[in-house]
Amino acid sequence: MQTETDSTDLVGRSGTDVEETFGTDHDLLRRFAHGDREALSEIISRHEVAVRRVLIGLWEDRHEVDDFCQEVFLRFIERPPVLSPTQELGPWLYRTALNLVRDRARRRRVRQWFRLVERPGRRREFESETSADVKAQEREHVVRLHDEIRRLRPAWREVVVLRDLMGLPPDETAGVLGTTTKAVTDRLHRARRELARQLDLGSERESE
Amino acid sequence: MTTDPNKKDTRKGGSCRREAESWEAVATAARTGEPIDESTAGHIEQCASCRGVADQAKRLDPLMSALSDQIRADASRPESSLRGERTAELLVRLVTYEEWRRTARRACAASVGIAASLVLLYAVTVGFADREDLSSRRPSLVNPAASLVDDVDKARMREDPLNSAVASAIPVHGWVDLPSRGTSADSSMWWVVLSYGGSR
Repeated sequence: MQTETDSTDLVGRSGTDVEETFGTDHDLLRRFAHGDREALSEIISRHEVAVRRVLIGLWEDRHEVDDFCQEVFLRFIERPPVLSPTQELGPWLYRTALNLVRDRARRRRVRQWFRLVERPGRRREFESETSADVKAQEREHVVRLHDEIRRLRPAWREVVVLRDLMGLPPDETAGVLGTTTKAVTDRLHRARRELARQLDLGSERESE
Repeated sequence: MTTDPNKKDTRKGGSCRREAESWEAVATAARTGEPIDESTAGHIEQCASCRGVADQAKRLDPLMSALSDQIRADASRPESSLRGERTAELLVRLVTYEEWRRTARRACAASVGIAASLVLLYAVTVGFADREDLSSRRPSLVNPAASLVDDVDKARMREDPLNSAVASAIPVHGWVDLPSRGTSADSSMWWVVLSYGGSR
């Protein structure tokens, strides 16, 4: 369930090689602060896929995901963060992406309240249990899982995306969300139980 | 948590306190292929809640992995990528333009604010200075505590209020019919207050 976030996001390059060639995030930030445009290109190359993964996990509209992704890097350019030499830029970018999604979700709720935007409906139940195409069934389950993740309450949804889909460790997830590790563990467990319930996976808690 | 790892740690509502730990152990074992540690494995065997949770974890974890892989593939598509020197250049130009626009708007707002402050300042200070020559003791916005009259004028006001220094200093907005002589001495005082247009 937990996957690596670093090296496979850098297409064709391993994480260690990249840092050796181009320097750490802190080095790149310093170079960008001095007007080095190549440093900006490298930062975008290094982090764009991961930021996009977070956004795709949280938001269903792919065009808006592209806008969010651009906005994240625009905000980075306008007001770059100050990092210590050992810190990475990833958590700051993820936090910015989360804030953008939260703002948009809040505005959409207001528009939904005024019936200006349709509420997203649940996908139809997967009907065929006799389909010979197991892969198609799995794909359908995966799509349903993604829908159900987006339907979770925001606090749970964010934890699931960061922990289970992005593979961030608990302390880093807590740092991005501005909460404690215990809260992250608690929310993640509740979210997983809810997802399992919505997807009808496993039995309800058995009584002894 | 109890010291016996095989006992159920029951919360209110019948759930076990170790459910999250059990789920995480099962999911990690499925991902890495390493066995679950003995303590947790023993507890899962004994605890019905955690057995149910482990079962759910075994079913949900593969779906979550597949979803993670799918999202990674989607995010790596080159069509919507921002990568490239040209795009970085474009983003920087866009930000520069936005900053210029913001600076221009702030400069306009500041100019309007300064102009409004100057007008207000003029109204407060110069506006009052055009009045007729007043007693230097007349209270003003600069010195509201200044006494309107000194003791000599107070005495003259009691005897002949209409010709006192105070009466000549006060701009007349209207007259009030004075009560006839013979009423109390204090009744002659209140006409000064009613006809004065200021706050005193």
